[in-house]
Amino acid sequence: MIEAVLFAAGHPLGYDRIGQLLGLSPREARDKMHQTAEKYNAQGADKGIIMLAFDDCCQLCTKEEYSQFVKTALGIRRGGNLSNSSIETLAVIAYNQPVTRVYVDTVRGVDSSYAVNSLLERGLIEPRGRVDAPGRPMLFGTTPDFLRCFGLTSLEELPSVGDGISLLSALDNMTIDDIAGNDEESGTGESGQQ
Amino acid sequence: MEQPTLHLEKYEGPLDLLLSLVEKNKMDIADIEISLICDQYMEYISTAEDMNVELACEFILMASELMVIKSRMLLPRTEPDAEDPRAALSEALLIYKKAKEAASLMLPLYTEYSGRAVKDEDEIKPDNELPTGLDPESLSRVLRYMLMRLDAQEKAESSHLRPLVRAKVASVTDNIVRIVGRIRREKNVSLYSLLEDAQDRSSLIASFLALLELIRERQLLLDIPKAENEDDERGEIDFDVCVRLSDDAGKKDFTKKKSELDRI
Repeated sequence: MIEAVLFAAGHPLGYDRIGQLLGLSPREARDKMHQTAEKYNAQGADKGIIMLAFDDCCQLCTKEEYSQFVKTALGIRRGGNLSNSSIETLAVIAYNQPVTRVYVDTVRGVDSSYAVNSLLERGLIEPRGRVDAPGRPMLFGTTPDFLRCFGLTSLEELPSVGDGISLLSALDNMTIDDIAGNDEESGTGESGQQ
Repeated sequence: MEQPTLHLEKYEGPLDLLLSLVEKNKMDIADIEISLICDQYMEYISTAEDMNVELACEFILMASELMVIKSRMLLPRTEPDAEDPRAALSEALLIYKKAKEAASLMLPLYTEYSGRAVKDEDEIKPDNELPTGLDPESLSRVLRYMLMRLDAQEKAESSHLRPLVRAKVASVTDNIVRIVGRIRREKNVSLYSLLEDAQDRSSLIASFLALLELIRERQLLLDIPKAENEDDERGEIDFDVCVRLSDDAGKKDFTKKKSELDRI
């Protein structure tokens, strides 16, 4: 039954909706869907689709090994590769979300607005509210589509980087002014306050 | 130490360039030789200028920041525990390095999994209802009915057409001959009786035309009884009126006119 609903929806279906259908709470629905997805995928060796169960929603999608056929059959030329700047931007956002564009600019050392917009358009990142600071800059985070395109089911599955230093904590003590040697300002590297 | 050669390497930003220089020089990020790095950095920038390659403005900004750090390093430190002027730069480089690393870990995942396709949203609109409960039987039934109707129509049409196709050509001349003959035999004939012999419309018309022609030629005379009332003068044609041949009937030569009449 869930399979039918997921198919008809196409887009990720939240566990609250699924919970309603099954008469379960959202959390129970999530646990159940994780189990269901595992079974579904295990039994689906010769199926063309798999069931993805994320933290707050689930979705049906095609298996990546068939992606070329799907693209040819439907005449899709979208997708394509991510540029270096896009993937750097995406990495900064993914590991530190939610963050502002300025935060990304600071980490990368360059203006990232083009990359941010491009990622927004592809549906890999989404707005997550605004910071209560001058200018009220927008915060960004990743989407379930991001997880799907990277073969992850949750953010915890992001590959660990280096010796585990969080990018965020390191940035706490830094501003662009600091790099220039202006020691009067204390660290305001927290997103959005520059 | 490699110098940027004929083709200028493209960097994502000044941090990218610096990181590359630091690695090429096999330096520790925590302990950068600012002087050397600064020189190499400036060399890159001037080479880029020589080659008319446009660099993002952040590169120039970083150049000035490097200068500041370099000059700070040259000055004797006034306070022993003052912050290392390079510290901020080191931090920035470290963070950027991690971001790059993360990006390189993520890229193969994207290459592998981004081909996954999902169905578009909203393909099924709530108010777009296809009719239900149809069965193929009703389709074939309706088709049969339509064919029958079509058949009937065709038959009807052909029965209409047949008379037209088969109708004889009624000759006016023949009728003239017939009428004259009849009047000679029967002396007094009514118009009505002359016309009633016609079997179909074409013959009727031919007969009528024959009569008109005879009258025109004054071969035929109509005996019109006196109207009983004055009002009847301009009444309808009374087909009981008798006709008789005029005295010189038959003397006129009809043959010349025959072809003319037949064309009517």
